[in-house]
Amino acid sequence: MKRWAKRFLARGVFWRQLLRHAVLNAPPYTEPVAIAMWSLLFLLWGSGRRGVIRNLAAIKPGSWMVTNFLRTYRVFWNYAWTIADNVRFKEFRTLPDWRFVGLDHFRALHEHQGGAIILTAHMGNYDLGAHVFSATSDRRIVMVRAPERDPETQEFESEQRGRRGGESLRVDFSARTSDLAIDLLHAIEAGELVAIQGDRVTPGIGSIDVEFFGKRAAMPTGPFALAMASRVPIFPLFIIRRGRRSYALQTFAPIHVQRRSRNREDDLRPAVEAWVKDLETVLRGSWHQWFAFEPFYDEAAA
Amino acid sequence: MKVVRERADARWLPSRHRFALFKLLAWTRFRSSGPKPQAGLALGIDRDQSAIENYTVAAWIMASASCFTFALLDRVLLSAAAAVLAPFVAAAVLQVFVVAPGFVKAWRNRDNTGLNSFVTITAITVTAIYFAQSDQWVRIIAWLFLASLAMNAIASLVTRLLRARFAADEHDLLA
Repeated sequence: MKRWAKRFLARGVFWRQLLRHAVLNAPPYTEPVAIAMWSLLFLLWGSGRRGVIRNLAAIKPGSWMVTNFLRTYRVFWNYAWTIADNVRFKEFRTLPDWRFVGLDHFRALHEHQGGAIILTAHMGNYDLGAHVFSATSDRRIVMVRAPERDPETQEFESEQRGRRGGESLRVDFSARTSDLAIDLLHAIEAGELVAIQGDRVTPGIGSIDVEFFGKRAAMPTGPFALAMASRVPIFPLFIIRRGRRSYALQTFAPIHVQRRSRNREDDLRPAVEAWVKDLETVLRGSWHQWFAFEPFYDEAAA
Repeated sequence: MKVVRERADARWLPSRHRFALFKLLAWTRFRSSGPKPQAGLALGIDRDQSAIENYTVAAWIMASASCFTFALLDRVLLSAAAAVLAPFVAAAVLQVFVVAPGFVKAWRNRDNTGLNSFVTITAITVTAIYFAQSDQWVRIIAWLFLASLAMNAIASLVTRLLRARFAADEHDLLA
């Protein structure tokens, strides 16, 4: 495919540029109509649509295909609002409304001395959540995320981040696995918070197979191995969109990873399973917020 | 950006609304509801923060624009086809108003939402004035749209008089 044509693929840079253009130009009262239309258009994105439908089939077993198709539209609708809110925050510093759920655990995270790991999922507005956290705290956050698949999109996002990014938030990409682990270990030792998404395994990243919504699924072990090596707790934290410009920040009890035996996987497994339990709890109520556009399980292996 | 913490009634602050009519309604609700503390809540103060206002205005503008588009398409197409196409054409035309000014190079990297809002409302108002003079059913929609504009204009005079009280209420919550 020609380079210019790649810009218009679902993950291409054109849509990011168009979104920024829309945020800078669309009066807010035209947004619901625009987002409804563009979400409908993105249902044409076959692999994304099929990925969400298959994930929903596991989260909501026994559902009709047509019901899951309509649910997929709801996922796309929420995703569109979420990324628009994110761009609006970057451009205008407009904050949505926040409700803190699991306030005691959130306070524990805020008051925790030394480094810690925030484990989150591809849900709601994790980008905005990290920005809000870094703005309300004097702690520095290092956010680890998977790089964009399209190089032009990655370049655009890096440029936007560089233009608007603050000192208290640093973004690292999980593609450079070799030095990243050491960098993160140093960050934790320096008392910084490391935010990682723990619901998707990218190529080259260590994983462990667990039961997730009744299917065999691979979960990344990186965050847990990091917690074990640095002896810090993991705080599961989810950012869930509740409505227009309204989010809930749900924090769960910290997960501790301890070295108890010679078998590393045996030591990591209870922590990964505790994380999966929290993730399942959140996804049962907020399945429409899980922006996982690839199936989390292999149909043949499940 | 200003944020009110742990007060659920702050959602009715006029400063969280854009249109004068909604500012007045929200303020009436704010005054009648009394303080409502809620732990773990943080509400941003921005004129476009109200979801009720946003969805109501979006629905109102979309419905009016769809009716006007239907009235135009009905002249050249079968009524059933015009009815199906009207909402999509209206939505597309509304987006043209929004997207077009962004193609002016000097305006590309700045906040044009205020300018585009003015252009959008003006365009629909002109269309409403045109249809208000017709003898078709759509004139009722046109008059309703113009009436809502007039009501908002009157409400904006009242909100000007109440500006100091709005600011005082906001200040109390932020303190």
